Amino acid sequence: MRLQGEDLKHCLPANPSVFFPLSGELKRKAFERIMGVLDRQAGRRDTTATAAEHWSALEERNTGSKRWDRLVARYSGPTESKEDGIRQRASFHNVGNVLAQRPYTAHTVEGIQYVVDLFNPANELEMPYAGAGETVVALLLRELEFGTVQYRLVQNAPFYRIVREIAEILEPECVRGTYSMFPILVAYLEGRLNPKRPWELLFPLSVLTKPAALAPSADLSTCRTTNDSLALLWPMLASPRFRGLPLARLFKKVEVWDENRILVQVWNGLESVLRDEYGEAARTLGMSAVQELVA
Amino acid sequence: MPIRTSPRGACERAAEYMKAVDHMRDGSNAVISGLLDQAESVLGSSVNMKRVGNLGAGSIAEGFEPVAMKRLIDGGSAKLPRSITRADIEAFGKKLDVSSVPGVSTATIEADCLLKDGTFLDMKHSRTADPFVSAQQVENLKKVLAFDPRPIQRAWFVTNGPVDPSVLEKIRQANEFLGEDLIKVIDDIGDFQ
Repeated sequence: MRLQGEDLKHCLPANPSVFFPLSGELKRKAFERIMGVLDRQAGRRDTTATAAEHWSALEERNTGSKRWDRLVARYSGPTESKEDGIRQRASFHNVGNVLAQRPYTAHTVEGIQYVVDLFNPANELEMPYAGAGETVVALLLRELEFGTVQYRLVQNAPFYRIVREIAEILEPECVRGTYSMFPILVAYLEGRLNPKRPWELLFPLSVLTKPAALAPSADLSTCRTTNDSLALLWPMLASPRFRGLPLARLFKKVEVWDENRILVQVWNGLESVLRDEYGEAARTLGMSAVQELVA
Repeated sequence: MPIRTSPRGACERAAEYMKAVDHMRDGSNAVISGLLDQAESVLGSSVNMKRVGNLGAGSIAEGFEPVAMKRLIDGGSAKLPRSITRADIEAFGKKLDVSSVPGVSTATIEADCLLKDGTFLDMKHSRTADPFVSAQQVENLKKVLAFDPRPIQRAWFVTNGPVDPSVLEKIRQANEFLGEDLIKVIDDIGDFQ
Protein backbone atom coordinates (compact mmCIF):
# COMPACT_ATOMS: atom_id res chain seq x y z
CA MET A 1 0.00 0.00 0.00
CA ARG A 2 1.60 3.25 -1.14
CA LEU A 3 1.68 6.40 0.93
CA GLN A 4 -1.08 8.63 -0.43
CA GLY A 5 -3.80 11.15 0.36
CA GLU A 6 -3.73 12.68 3.83
CA ASP A 7 -0.77 10.51 4.89
CA LEU A 8 1.28 11.77 1.95
CA LYS A 9 0.35 15.39 2.75
CA HIS A 10 1.51 14.81 6.31
CA CYS A 11 4.90 13.39 5.31
CA LEU A 12 5.66 15.96 2.62
CA PRO A 13 7.39 19.19 3.76
CA ALA A 14 4.79 21.97 3.67
CA ASN A 15 6.95 25.01 2.92
CA PRO A 16 7.95 26.27 -0.51
CA SER A 17 11.39 24.87 -1.32
CA VAL A 18 14.26 24.94 -3.76
CA PHE A 19 15.56 21.54 -4.83
CA PHE A 20 19.06 20.53 -5.91
CA PRO A 21 19.10 16.97 -7.35
CA LEU A 22 22.62 15.56 -7.11
CA SER A 23 24.32 12.96 -9.26
CA GLY A 24 25.96 11.45 -6.15
CA GLU A 25 25.76 11.66 -2.39
CA LEU A 26 25.81 14.88 -0.39
CA LYS A 27 29.29 15.20 1.06
CA ARG A 28 29.96 16.63 4.51
CA LYS A 29 32.43 19.14 3.10
CA ALA A 30 29.77 20.47 0.71
CA PHE A 31 27.25 20.71 3.54
CA GLU A 32 29.73 22.68 5.67
CA ARG A 33 30.34 25.06 2.78
CA ILE A 34 26.57 25.59 2.47
CA MET A 35 26.48 26.38 6.18
CA GLY A 36 29.24 28.87 5.53
CA VAL A 37 27.18 30.58 2.83
CA LEU A 38 24.17 30.86 5.13
CA ASP A 39 26.27 31.97 8.11
CA ARG A 40 27.81 34.73 6.01
CA GLN A 41 24.51 35.90 4.54
CA ALA A 42 22.59 35.77 7.84
CA GLY A 43 25.31 36.88 10.22
CA ARG A 44 24.07 34.44 12.85
CA ARG A 45 22.09 31.24 13.29
CA ASP A 46 18.52 31.12 14.56
CA THR A 47 18.95 27.89 16.48
CA THR A 48 21.37 26.47 19.01
CA ALA A 49 22.01 23.33 16.95
CA THR A 50 25.51 23.04 15.54
CA ALA A 51 26.42 22.25 11.95
CA ALA A 52 27.78 18.90 13.19
CA GLU A 53 24.44 18.02 14.78
CA HIS A 54 22.61 19.08 11.64
CA TRP A 55 24.90 16.91 9.51
CA SER A 56 24.37 13.89 11.77
CA ALA A 57 20.62 14.36 11.53
CA LEU A 58 20.82 14.54 7.73
CA GLU A 59 22.94 11.37 7.63
CA GLU A 60 20.32 9.58 9.69
CA ARG A 61 17.55 11.05 7.59
CA ASN A 62 19.33 9.86 4.44
CA THR A 63 18.58 6.29 5.47
CA GLY A 64 14.85 6.95 5.19
CA SER A 65 14.25 5.99 8.79
CA LYS A 66 13.15 9.42 10.02
CA ARG A 67 10.08 10.10 7.94
CA TRP A 68 7.88 12.80 9.48
CA ASP A 69 5.08 10.47 10.55
CA ARG A 70 7.59 8.52 12.66
CA LEU A 71 8.35 11.70 14.59
CA VAL A 72 4.92 13.35 14.69
CA ALA A 73 1.59 11.60 14.25
CA ARG A 74 -0.93 13.02 11.79
CA TYR A 75 -3.57 15.00 13.67
CA SER A 76 -7.00 13.43 13.36
CA GLY A 77 -8.71 14.91 16.39
CA PRO A 78 -11.55 17.44 16.56
CA THR A 79 -11.22 20.80 14.79
CA GLU A 80 -13.48 22.94 16.91
CA SER A 81 -11.72 24.79 19.71
CA LYS A 82 -8.71 27.08 19.66
CA GLU A 83 -6.80 24.36 21.54
CA ASP A 84 -7.66 21.87 18.76
CA GLY A 85 -6.16 24.32 16.29
CA ILE A 86 -2.95 24.59 18.30
CA ARG A 87 -2.66 20.80 18.48
CA GLN A 88 -3.23 20.46 14.74
CA ARG A 89 -0.69 23.15 13.86
CA ALA A 90 1.92 21.38 16.01
CA SER A 91 1.63 18.34 13.72
CA PHE A 92 2.23 20.07 10.37
CA HIS A 93 5.46 19.25 8.55
CA ASN A 94 6.54 22.87 8.36
CA VAL A 95 9.82 24.62 9.13
CA GLY A 96 8.78 25.65 12.65
CA ASN A 97 7.91 22.10 13.63
CA VAL A 98 10.90 20.62 11.80
CA LEU A 99 13.18 22.78 13.93
CA ALA A 100 11.39 21.53 17.04
CA GLN A 101 11.82 17.88 16.04
CA ARG A 102 15.16 17.72 14.24
CA PRO A 103 18.48 19.24 15.41
CA TYR A 104 18.78 21.43 12.32
CA THR A 105 20.30 24.86 12.01
CA ALA A 106 18.28 27.72 10.53
CA HIS A 107 19.25 31.11 9.16
CA THR A 108 17.15 34.20 8.50
CA VAL A 109 17.99 36.60 5.70
CA GLU A 110 15.64 39.44 4.72
CA GLY A 111 12.42 37.88 5.98
CA ILE A 112 13.09 34.31 4.85
CA GLN A 113 14.19 31.54 7.19
CA TYR A 114 16.33 28.94 5.40
CA VAL A 115 16.70 25.30 6.46
CA VAL A 116 18.74 22.67 4.62
CA ASP A 117 16.98 19.30 4.38
CA LEU A 118 16.75 16.32 2.02
CA PHE A 119 13.79 15.63 -0.25
CA ASN A 120 12.45 12.08 -0.34
CA PRO A 121 15.64 10.40 0.94
CA ALA A 122 15.73 6.64 0.29
CA ASN A 123 12.35 7.14 -1.38
CA GLU A 124 10.68 7.52 2.02
CA LEU A 125 7.57 8.82 0.24
CA GLU A 126 7.26 5.53 -1.68
CA MET A 127 7.01 7.25 -5.05
CA PRO A 128 6.98 5.41 -8.40
CA TYR A 129 8.92 7.98 -10.46
CA ALA A 130 12.25 7.26 -12.12
CA GLY A 131 15.07 8.28 -9.83
CA ALA A 132 12.93 8.34 -6.68
CA GLY A 133 15.26 8.20 -3.69
CA GLU A 134 18.16 9.95 -5.42
CA THR A 135 19.93 12.54 -3.28
CA VAL A 136 18.06 15.83 -3.53
CA VAL A 137 19.06 18.68 -1.25
CA ALA A 138 16.02 20.76 -0.31
CA LEU A 139 16.32 24.35 0.82
CA LEU A 140 13.14 24.91 2.85
CA LEU A 141 11.85 28.50 2.80
CA ARG A 142 9.76 29.93 5.63
CA GLU A 143 8.36 33.38 5.07
CA LEU A 144 8.39 35.32 8.32
CA GLU A 145 6.00 37.88 6.85
CA PHE A 146 3.20 36.75 4.55
CA GLY A 147 4.14 37.10 0.89
CA THR A 148 7.93 37.28 1.23
CA VAL A 149 8.29 33.97 -0.57
CA GLN A 150 4.89 33.61 -2.23
CA TYR A 151 4.42 37.08 -3.72
CA ARG A 152 7.63 39.14 -3.37
CA LEU A 153 10.50 36.70 -3.79
CA VAL A 154 11.61 38.41 -6.98
CA GLN A 155 12.56 41.48 -4.91
CA ASN A 156 14.71 39.48 -2.48
CA ALA A 157 18.25 39.75 -3.87
CA PRO A 158 19.92 37.67 -1.10
CA PHE A 159 17.68 34.71 -1.96
CA TYR A 160 19.09 34.49 -5.48
CA ARG A 161 22.65 34.88 -4.20
CA ILE A 162 22.12 32.05 -1.72
CA VAL A 163 20.58 29.73 -4.33
CA ARG A 164 23.38 30.42 -6.78
CA GLU A 165 26.14 29.94 -4.23
CA ILE A 166 24.63 26.65 -3.05
CA ALA A 167 24.35 25.51 -6.67
CA GLU A 168 28.02 26.35 -7.20
CA ILE A 169 28.93 24.17 -4.22
CA LEU A 170 26.69 21.22 -5.07
CA GLU A 171 26.91 21.31 -8.86
CA PRO A 172 23.45 19.76 -9.11
CA GLU A 173 21.90 18.32 -12.21
CA CYS A 174 19.42 21.23 -12.11
CA VAL A 175 17.77 23.61 -9.65
CA ARG A 176 14.00 23.77 -9.18
CA GLY A 177 11.81 25.81 -6.83
CA THR A 178 8.12 25.48 -6.13
CA TYR A 179 5.32 26.17 -3.70
CA SER A 180 4.45 22.48 -3.26
CA MET A 181 5.57 19.11 -4.62
CA PHE A 182 2.21 17.55 -3.78
CA PRO A 183 0.51 17.97 -7.21
CA ILE A 184 3.52 16.32 -8.87
CA LEU A 185 3.51 13.36 -6.51
CA VAL A 186 -0.24 12.87 -6.91
CA ALA A 187 0.17 12.95 -10.69
CA TYR A 188 2.66 10.09 -10.40
CA LEU A 189 0.36 8.10 -8.16
CA GLU A 190 -2.49 8.60 -10.65
CA GLY A 191 -0.30 7.62 -13.62
CA ARG A 192 -0.55 11.05 -15.25
CA LEU A 193 3.14 11.83 -15.37
CA ASN A 194 5.14 8.70 -16.07
CA PRO A 195 7.84 8.23 -17.18
CA LYS A 196 9.12 11.76 -16.64
CA ARG A 197 11.27 12.66 -13.66
CA PRO A 198 9.90 15.57 -11.61
CA TRP A 199 12.84 17.74 -12.59
CA GLU A 200 11.91 17.58 -16.28
CA LEU A 201 8.92 19.85 -15.56
CA LEU A 202 9.05 23.62 -15.62
CA PHE A 203 8.88 24.73 -12.00
CA PRO A 204 7.96 28.31 -10.99
CA LEU A 205 11.70 28.74 -10.51
CA SER A 206 13.98 26.71 -12.76
CA VAL A 207 17.64 26.82 -13.61
CA LEU A 208 17.82 25.68 -17.21
CA THR A 209 20.87 23.95 -18.63
CA LYS A 210 22.15 24.73 -22.09
CA PRO A 211 20.79 22.07 -24.43
CA ALA A 212 22.56 20.17 -27.15
CA ALA A 213 22.89 22.14 -30.37
CA LEU A 214 19.89 22.34 -32.67
CA ALA A 215 20.06 21.08 -36.23
CA PRO A 216 20.75 24.11 -38.47
CA SER A 217 17.56 23.63 -40.49
CA ALA A 218 15.20 23.44 -37.52
CA ASP A 219 12.78 26.23 -36.60
CA LEU A 220 10.30 26.64 -33.78
CA SER A 221 7.43 25.10 -35.74
CA THR A 222 9.34 21.83 -36.00
CA CYS A 223 10.49 21.71 -32.40
CA ARG A 224 9.10 18.62 -30.72
CA THR A 225 11.34 18.27 -27.70
CA THR A 226 12.44 20.39 -24.78
CA ASN A 227 15.98 20.21 -26.10
CA ASP A 228 15.03 21.62 -29.51
CA SER A 229 12.81 24.36 -28.08
CA LEU A 230 15.45 25.37 -25.59
CA ALA A 231 18.23 25.22 -28.18
CA LEU A 232 16.28 27.61 -30.37
CA LEU A 233 15.40 29.99 -27.55
CA TRP A 234 18.70 29.83 -25.66
CA PRO A 235 20.42 32.69 -27.52
CA MET A 236 17.44 34.92 -26.74
CA LEU A 237 17.32 33.93 -23.06
CA ALA A 238 21.05 34.51 -22.73
CA SER A 239 20.99 37.82 -24.58
CA PRO A 240 21.81 40.98 -22.61
CA ARG A 241 18.92 42.58 -24.51
CA PHE A 242 16.46 39.88 -23.33
CA ARG A 243 14.25 42.34 -21.42
CA GLY A 244 13.42 44.05 -24.69
CA LEU A 245 12.35 40.86 -26.45
CA PRO A 246 8.76 39.54 -26.66
CA LEU A 247 9.80 36.39 -24.80
CA ALA A 248 10.58 38.51 -21.74
CA ARG A 249 6.89 38.87 -20.87
CA LEU A 250 6.82 35.17 -19.95
CA PHE A 251 9.25 35.59 -17.07
CA LYS A 252 9.45 37.95 -14.13
CA LYS A 253 13.10 37.09 -13.66
CA VAL A 254 15.84 35.80 -15.93
CA GLU A 255 19.34 35.57 -14.52
CA VAL A 256 22.19 34.28 -16.66
CA TRP A 257 24.50 32.39 -14.31
CA ASP A 258 27.09 31.41 -16.88
CA GLU A 259 27.19 30.25 -20.49
CA ASN A 260 25.53 26.95 -19.57
CA ARG A 261 22.94 27.89 -16.94
CA ILE A 262 20.10 30.40 -16.81
CA LEU A 263 17.66 30.90 -13.93
CA VAL A 264 14.12 31.69 -15.00
CA GLN A 265 11.21 32.54 -12.74
CA VAL A 266 7.74 32.80 -14.22
CA TRP A 267 6.02 34.99 -11.63
CA ASN A 268 6.94 37.03 -8.55
CA GLY A 269 7.23 34.18 -6.06
CA LEU A 270 6.64 30.53 -5.22
CA GLU A 271 2.89 30.80 -4.83
CA SER A 272 -0.30 28.76 -4.72
CA VAL A 273 -1.96 30.93 -7.39
CA LEU A 274 -2.50 29.03 -10.66
CA ARG A 275 -1.74 31.49 -13.42
CA ASP A 276 -1.97 30.76 -17.13
CA GLU A 277 1.48 32.26 -17.48
CA TYR A 278 3.01 29.06 -16.06
CA GLY A 279 1.53 26.90 -18.81
CA GLU A 280 2.36 29.46 -21.49
CA ALA A 281 6.01 29.71 -20.41
CA ALA A 282 6.30 25.92 -20.24
CA ARG A 283 4.87 25.39 -23.72
CA THR A 284 7.22 27.98 -25.15
CA LEU A 285 10.15 26.04 -23.70
CA GLY A 286 8.74 22.71 -24.88
CA MET A 287 7.99 21.63 -21.32
CA SER A 288 5.00 21.07 -19.01
CA ALA A 289 4.33 23.24 -15.97
CA VAL A 290 3.98 21.94 -12.44
CA GLN A 291 0.78 23.98 -12.08
CA GLU A 292 -0.88 22.10 -14.92
CA LEU A 293 -0.81 18.97 -12.76
CA VAL A 294 -3.11 20.37 -10.06
CA ALA A 295 -6.25 18.29 -10.25
CA MET B 1 -40.51 42.91 -35.76
CA PRO B 2 -41.05 42.87 -32.02
CA ILE B 3 -38.86 45.24 -30.07
CA ARG B 4 -37.07 43.61 -27.13
CA THR B 5 -36.97 45.80 -24.09
CA SER B 6 -34.54 45.38 -21.25
CA PRO B 7 -35.88 44.36 -17.87
CA ARG B 8 -36.29 47.23 -15.47
CA GLY B 9 -32.93 48.23 -14.01
CA ALA B 10 -30.89 46.28 -16.53
CA CYS B 11 -29.36 49.40 -18.09
CA GLU B 12 -28.34 50.80 -14.75
CA ARG B 13 -26.87 47.44 -13.79
CA ALA B 14 -24.90 47.16 -17.03
CA ALA B 15 -23.62 50.72 -16.65
CA GLU B 16 -22.43 50.11 -13.11
CA TYR B 17 -20.69 46.92 -14.24
CA MET B 18 -18.91 48.66 -17.11
CA LYS B 19 -17.83 51.55 -14.91
CA ALA B 20 -16.52 49.10 -12.33
CA VAL B 21 -14.50 47.14 -14.92
CA ASP B 22 -13.12 50.36 -16.39
CA HIS B 23 -12.04 51.44 -12.90
CA MET B 24 -10.08 48.23 -12.21
CA ARG B 25 -6.76 49.16 -13.76
CA ASP B 26 -3.25 48.43 -12.56
CA GLY B 27 -0.24 50.74 -12.40
CA SER B 28 0.29 50.55 -16.15
CA ASN B 29 -3.39 51.40 -16.78
CA ALA B 30 -4.20 47.88 -18.01
CA VAL B 31 -7.43 46.30 -16.81
CA ILE B 32 -6.56 44.02 -13.90
CA SER B 33 -6.02 40.37 -14.80
CA GLY B 34 -9.06 38.14 -14.79
CA LEU B 35 -11.65 40.64 -15.97
CA LEU B 36 -10.85 40.77 -19.69
CA ASP B 37 -7.61 39.09 -20.53
CA GLN B 38 -7.52 35.68 -18.93
CA ALA B 39 -7.63 32.99 -21.58
CA GLU B 40 -9.39 29.79 -20.62
CA SER B 41 -6.87 27.09 -19.93
CA VAL B 42 -6.28 23.81 -18.22
CA LEU B 43 -5.68 25.86 -15.10
CA GLY B 44 -9.35 26.76 -15.25
CA SER B 45 -9.26 30.51 -14.62
CA SER B 46 -12.39 32.27 -15.76
CA VAL B 47 -12.83 35.43 -17.80
CA ASN B 48 -15.23 37.66 -15.93
CA MET B 49 -16.57 39.66 -18.88
CA LYS B 50 -17.00 36.60 -21.07
CA ARG B 51 -19.15 34.94 -18.45
CA VAL B 52 -21.15 38.10 -17.89
CA GLY B 53 -21.64 38.43 -21.64
CA ASN B 54 -23.00 34.92 -21.96
CA LEU B 55 -26.12 36.11 -20.12
CA GLY B 56 -26.52 32.58 -18.82
CA ALA B 57 -27.27 31.42 -15.31
CA GLY B 58 -24.95 33.19 -12.91
CA SER B 59 -24.05 36.01 -15.28
CA ILE B 60 -25.43 38.66 -12.91
CA ALA B 61 -23.58 37.09 -10.01
CA GLU B 62 -20.43 37.25 -12.14
CA GLY B 63 -21.07 40.92 -12.91
CA PHE B 64 -21.47 41.52 -9.19
CA GLU B 65 -17.76 40.78 -8.62
CA PRO B 66 -16.16 43.97 -9.98
CA VAL B 67 -19.22 45.97 -8.91
CA ALA B 68 -18.85 44.75 -5.33
CA MET B 69 -15.12 45.57 -5.38
CA LYS B 70 -15.84 49.08 -6.69
CA ARG B 71 -18.39 49.62 -3.93
CA LEU B 72 -15.90 48.43 -1.31
CA ILE B 73 -13.20 50.73 -2.71
CA ASP B 74 -15.68 53.62 -2.69
CA GLY B 75 -16.30 53.11 1.01
CA GLY B 76 -19.70 51.52 0.58
CA SER B 77 -19.36 49.20 3.56
CA ALA B 78 -19.15 49.83 7.27
CA LYS B 79 -18.11 46.20 7.80
CA LEU B 80 -14.92 46.35 5.77
CA PRO B 81 -12.07 45.81 8.27
CA ARG B 82 -9.87 48.39 6.54
CA SER B 83 -10.13 50.67 3.54
CA ILE B 84 -8.93 49.25 0.25
CA THR B 85 -7.92 50.74 -3.09
CA ARG B 86 -7.64 49.23 -6.54
CA ALA B 87 -3.86 49.14 -6.01
CA ASP B 88 -4.51 46.44 -3.39
CA ILE B 89 -5.97 44.08 -5.99
CA GLU B 90 -3.78 41.25 -7.25
CA ALA B 91 -6.25 39.64 -9.67
CA PHE B 92 -9.81 38.52 -10.31
CA GLY B 93 -10.92 34.93 -10.82
CA LYS B 94 -7.72 33.13 -9.87
CA LYS B 95 -7.62 29.52 -8.72
CA LEU B 96 -5.31 28.60 -5.88
CA ASP B 97 -3.68 25.24 -5.33
CA VAL B 98 -4.79 23.94 -1.93
CA SER B 99 -4.25 20.28 -2.78
CA SER B 100 -1.56 19.89 -0.11
CA VAL B 101 -3.69 21.33 2.70
CA PRO B 102 -4.79 18.57 5.09
CA GLY B 103 -8.45 17.69 5.02
CA VAL B 104 -9.53 20.02 2.22
CA SER B 105 -12.11 18.38 -0.05
CA THR B 106 -10.98 20.09 -3.26
CA ALA B 107 -7.62 20.60 -5.04
CA THR B 108 -8.32 24.28 -5.76
CA ILE B 109 -10.32 27.20 -4.47
CA GLU B 110 -11.17 30.17 -6.67
CA ALA B 111 -10.75 33.72 -5.45
CA ASP B 112 -13.30 35.94 -7.16
CA CYS B 113 -10.84 38.64 -6.17
CA LEU B 114 -7.44 38.22 -4.55
CA LEU B 115 -5.71 41.09 -2.77
CA LYS B 116 -1.94 41.51 -2.68
CA ASP B 117 -1.90 41.02 1.09
CA GLY B 118 -3.37 37.54 0.71
CA THR B 119 -7.01 38.44 1.32
CA PHE B 120 -9.30 36.02 -0.49
CA LEU B 121 -12.68 37.45 -1.53
CA ASP B 122 -15.62 35.27 -2.47
CA MET B 123 -18.58 37.22 -3.89
CA LYS B 124 -22.03 35.78 -3.29
CA HIS B 125 -25.06 37.11 -5.11
CA SER B 126 -28.62 35.93 -5.37
CA ARG B 127 -31.66 37.68 -6.84
CA THR B 128 -34.20 35.33 -5.34
CA ALA B 129 -32.93 34.16 -1.97
CA ASP B 130 -30.32 34.72 0.70
CA PRO B 131 -26.84 34.64 -0.86
CA PHE B 132 -25.71 31.04 -0.52
CA VAL B 133 -22.50 30.12 1.25
CA SER B 134 -22.16 26.38 1.67
CA ALA B 135 -21.00 24.76 4.87
CA GLN B 136 -18.36 22.93 2.80
CA GLN B 137 -16.91 26.21 1.55
CA VAL B 138 -16.57 27.51 5.08
CA GLU B 139 -15.03 24.22 6.20
CA ASN B 140 -12.48 24.27 3.37
CA LEU B 141 -11.52 27.89 4.08
CA LYS B 142 -11.16 27.04 7.76
CA LYS B 143 -8.70 24.27 6.88
CA VAL B 144 -6.79 26.44 4.41
CA LEU B 145 -6.47 29.24 6.96
CA ALA B 146 -5.47 26.79 9.69
CA PHE B 147 -2.58 25.48 7.58
CA ASP B 148 0.93 26.70 8.20
CA PRO B 149 2.23 28.02 5.84
CA ARG B 150 -0.98 29.73 4.83
CA PRO B 151 -1.64 30.13 1.10
CA ILE B 152 -4.00 33.00 1.96
CA GLN B 153 -4.17 35.32 4.96
CA ARG B 154 -7.91 35.78 5.45
CA ALA B 155 -11.21 35.29 3.64
CA TRP B 156 -14.11 37.65 3.15
CA PHE B 157 -17.52 36.69 1.78
CA VAL B 158 -19.00 39.76 0.09
CA THR B 159 -22.76 39.42 -0.44
CA ASN B 160 -25.69 41.43 -1.79
CA GLY B 161 -27.68 40.70 1.34
CA PRO B 162 -27.71 38.81 4.62
CA VAL B 163 -26.66 35.16 4.62
CA ASP B 164 -28.40 32.41 6.50
CA PRO B 165 -27.83 32.56 10.31
CA SER B 166 -26.67 28.93 10.27
CA VAL B 167 -23.80 29.97 7.97
CA LEU B 168 -22.86 32.81 10.31
CA GLU B 169 -22.75 30.30 13.15
CA LYS B 170 -20.51 28.01 11.07
CA ILE B 171 -18.17 30.94 10.41
CA ARG B 172 -18.14 31.84 14.11
CA GLN B 173 -17.13 28.27 14.95
CA ALA B 174 -14.42 28.32 12.28
CA ASN B 175 -12.98 31.55 13.66
CA GLU B 176 -12.98 30.09 17.15
CA PHE B 177 -10.89 27.18 15.89
CA LEU B 178 -8.57 29.56 14.04
CA GLY B 179 -8.10 31.67 17.15
CA GLU B 180 -8.97 34.94 15.39
CA ASP B 181 -11.62 36.36 13.07
CA LEU B 182 -10.03 35.40 9.76
CA ILE B 183 -13.33 34.72 7.97
CA LYS B 184 -15.76 37.61 7.64
CA VAL B 185 -19.04 38.38 5.92
CA ILE B 186 -19.50 41.80 4.35
CA ASP B 187 -23.19 42.06 3.53
CA ASP B 188 -23.89 45.81 3.61
CA ILE B 189 -22.83 47.02 0.16
CA GLY B 190 -26.35 46.94 -1.26
CA ASP B 191 -28.19 44.95 -3.85
CA PHE B 192 -27.40 44.48 -7.56
CA GLN B 193 -30.78 44.01 -9.25
